[in-house]
Amino acid sequence: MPSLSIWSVRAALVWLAVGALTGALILARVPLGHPEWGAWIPAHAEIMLMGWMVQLAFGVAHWILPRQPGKEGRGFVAPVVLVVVMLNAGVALVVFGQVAAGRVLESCAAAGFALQGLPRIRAAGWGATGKDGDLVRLKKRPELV
Amino acid sequence: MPAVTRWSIRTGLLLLAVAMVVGMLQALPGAWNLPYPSYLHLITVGWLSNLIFGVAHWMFPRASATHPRGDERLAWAGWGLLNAGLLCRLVGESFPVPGVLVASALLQLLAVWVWAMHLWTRVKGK
Repeated sequence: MPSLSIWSVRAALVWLAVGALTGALILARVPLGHPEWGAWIPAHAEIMLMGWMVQLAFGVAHWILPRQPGKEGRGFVAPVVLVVVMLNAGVALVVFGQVAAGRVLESCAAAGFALQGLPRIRAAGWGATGKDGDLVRLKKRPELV
Repeated sequence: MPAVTRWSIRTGLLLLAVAMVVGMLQALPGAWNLPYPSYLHLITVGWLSNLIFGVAHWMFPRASATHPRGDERLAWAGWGLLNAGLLCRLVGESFPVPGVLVASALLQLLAVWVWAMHLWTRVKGK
């Protein structure tokens, strides 16, 4: 797993832990005598959807999509670092009430990820998870070329 | 595919099917049904989370040569706690059983933290 995916998946796991805590408090709000905690539902949804699931998908896709031939591999690292930073900043901004600014950052992150990932969506070359937990070169099959 | 992954995916598929039935019933006015948050969490917790945790346990890099998938007891605990917590939620949101929503919250919170702790050790390079 490349280091960028490691950071992205770890950040997703942190959001997951935070999102689960907010979700548990929201679910138990009435028996615990704090119905006002229901106001956290949008933040809980944002954390779970964008911070956890979308970010996990970004990190795993960066790791597991077929690599570019030659030295390009997974593409330039800097734009993907920016994608991860923008996504996390966007989620944090939305959670703390700056919804418009947060959504702009999240949209930029999604667009950046799509642009960076598009050239790697192809049939032949690299794929699957190898014995050492990373990608392996597939045997050349004529129908995939 | 390890056993805990197989059971996670099977549970996820079953809960997805339940969610689809609940979703269809919601279109019928007057029919008894689960509340909307139950439907939403059948999909996000019951289907998506079971699938994600199961596949991550199977596909993420090996923890070590001797224990490639880390401590499998944590994965089993996460699977059991998550689904027990979801079941409590379905009961607690439909019937006024005292304490069951708090139990559901605790079980699901524990489940997610156990899964996150277990998978954290597998998020690494070669």
